[in-house]
Amino acid sequence: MRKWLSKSGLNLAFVVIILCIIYVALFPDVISNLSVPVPDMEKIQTFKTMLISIVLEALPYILIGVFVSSLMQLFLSEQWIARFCPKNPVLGIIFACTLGIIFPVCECGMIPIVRRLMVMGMPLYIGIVFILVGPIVNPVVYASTYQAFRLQPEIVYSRMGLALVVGLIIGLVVYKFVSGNPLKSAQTARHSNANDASHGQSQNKFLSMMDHAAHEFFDMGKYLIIGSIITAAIQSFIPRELLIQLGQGELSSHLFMMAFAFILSICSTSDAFVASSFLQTFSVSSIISFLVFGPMVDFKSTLMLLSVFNKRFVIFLIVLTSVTVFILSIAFGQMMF
Amino acid sequence: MNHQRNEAVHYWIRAIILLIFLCFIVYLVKTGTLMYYIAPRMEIFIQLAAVGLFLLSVSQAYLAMQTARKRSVMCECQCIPPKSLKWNVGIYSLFIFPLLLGVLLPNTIMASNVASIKGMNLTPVRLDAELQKDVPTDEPEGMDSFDAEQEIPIEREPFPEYEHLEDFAEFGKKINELPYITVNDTGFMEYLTTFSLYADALTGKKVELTGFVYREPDMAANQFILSRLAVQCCSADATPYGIIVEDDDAATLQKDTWVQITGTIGKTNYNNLDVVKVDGKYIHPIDAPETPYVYPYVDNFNNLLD
Repeated sequence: MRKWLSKSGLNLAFVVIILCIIYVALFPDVISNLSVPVPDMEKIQTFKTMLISIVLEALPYILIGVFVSSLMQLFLSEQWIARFCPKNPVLGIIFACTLGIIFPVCECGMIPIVRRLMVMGMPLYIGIVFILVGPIVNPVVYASTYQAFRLQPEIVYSRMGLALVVGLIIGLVVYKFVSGNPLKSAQTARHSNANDASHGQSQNKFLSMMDHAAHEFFDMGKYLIIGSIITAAIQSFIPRELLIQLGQGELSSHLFMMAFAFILSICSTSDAFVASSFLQTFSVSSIISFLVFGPMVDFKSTLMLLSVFNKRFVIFLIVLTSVTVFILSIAFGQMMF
Repeated sequence: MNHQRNEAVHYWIRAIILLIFLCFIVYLVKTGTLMYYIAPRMEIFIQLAAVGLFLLSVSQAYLAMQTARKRSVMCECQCIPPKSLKWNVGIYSLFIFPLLLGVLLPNTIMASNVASIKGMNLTPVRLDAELQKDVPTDEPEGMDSFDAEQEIPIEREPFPEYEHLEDFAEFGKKINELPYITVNDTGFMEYLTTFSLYADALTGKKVELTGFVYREPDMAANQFILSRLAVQCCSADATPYGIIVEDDDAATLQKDTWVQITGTIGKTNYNNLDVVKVDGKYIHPIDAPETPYVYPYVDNFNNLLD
């Protein structure tokens, strides 16, 4: 009896909390009457706007990511993955690049999907190429880049082309030199092993899918939110002009634009728009390095990568990507512009 | 028992966090303030996300009750991270933090503060010197022999077509025929681009524009920038665009005041750049418009004039 009481007491407490929330949601005036109007807080206000907008923008993508990932866990088998992934590394990389065209989600949605695919046996190098190239080589990003650079369509083609080349190089390097499994949690691995045994007989396939999705939502979400907080702080407290002064000069402009893409962490579907406002201050090739590097590696995605891979591998991947993009974009700039 | 109880608490907390996220989105949609954060074309995705959050929240609450009532219904796999209490409190408050900010601070329109951090753009498209040379001047070559003594003033095409910007030339010609150019929120950037591309040809045209007052520290007393923030997806990518306004009463206008101005197009030199300007005639303060931000226009420009 006491046990039962404590259990239902627990439920009751939470039901009350939920009712309160619903009440506030229906009558939001309760809160706006409470909150004190704050005048001299322009910067804090800006920070708030940035933070919420970044989180809100990522939310649909991360939800798609976790839902697709949980669906795949329930309905795709490891044999299927093994059958579909090409054995030849070059073919595998091309396969990974085309995945991006079919799955036009940005990096927030990509990472849970790739994690699931890799737990289910997709080779590491294919997953990596998918994470790097997918957010750039897809129709949505193509369209938005094209729109932002009406005057310089060569930037659009260079962005897509360079991303593919970088993906190819990194894919081959990972294929050749990385042995062992850099996947982080044994937890996710256990998930997939427990998969057939316990979910097979369960009539609650839907419930268990939702459970996995929620689990992944919170697992990825914490990294996403830390990343968003830092990004929002940079965007609202550090003037761009200050940063731009750091980045003049041929080589340093490339380094700067890459670092800038890293700390801004803008979604790949809208970064071209921001980049186009730098046409007057930066060389075309350094803008291309911004457009290629940003979606591959940035603050938000680094944190999310850390939820999938161990630290050593994430650092290795970032260094490798930075060096490759840096060298290629400079070489490309010398050749083309 | 203890373990189950813990698990139930986790499920409840998650259900609640998901629910708060959901309610926050509903609140933003209902009050029409979602566009302060997200571009309208993204709103449908946010609404779909709300449906996803609802499903997740309900399922977590259901699981919580199931777990508390009987044995765990789920698989043996550890869906609940076996971490310390402090760690869990930290993680969950991370999710609450943006929501708390969102609820406690009022929703405000970004304006001068954001513009000064991001840097004002006065020339939406800057033509390279090289590109400008390529413009075909309508200089007929065999003219001299034909009637050399008769001095025909060679008329330069007032709306030259620049590569990839052909739409703007046509649009420029069209608005040049209007007695009065009203710049709406839709297509704001396209109008501004046209003005700056064809500033010479459009000089003297009457225009009407709406925006907020923004000042750079080095501006003259009679100048300000009439500005709008252009948003692609979300507020984080907001980019300020504006046009210089010259008016004798400019100094009386506070920054961030929303104004509607009527004036004539002209040219001025600012920071060693030739830029388009508006000579103000009537300036009157207005309330902030319902859609404070402007969005890149992707349709056919001709529709802008309908």
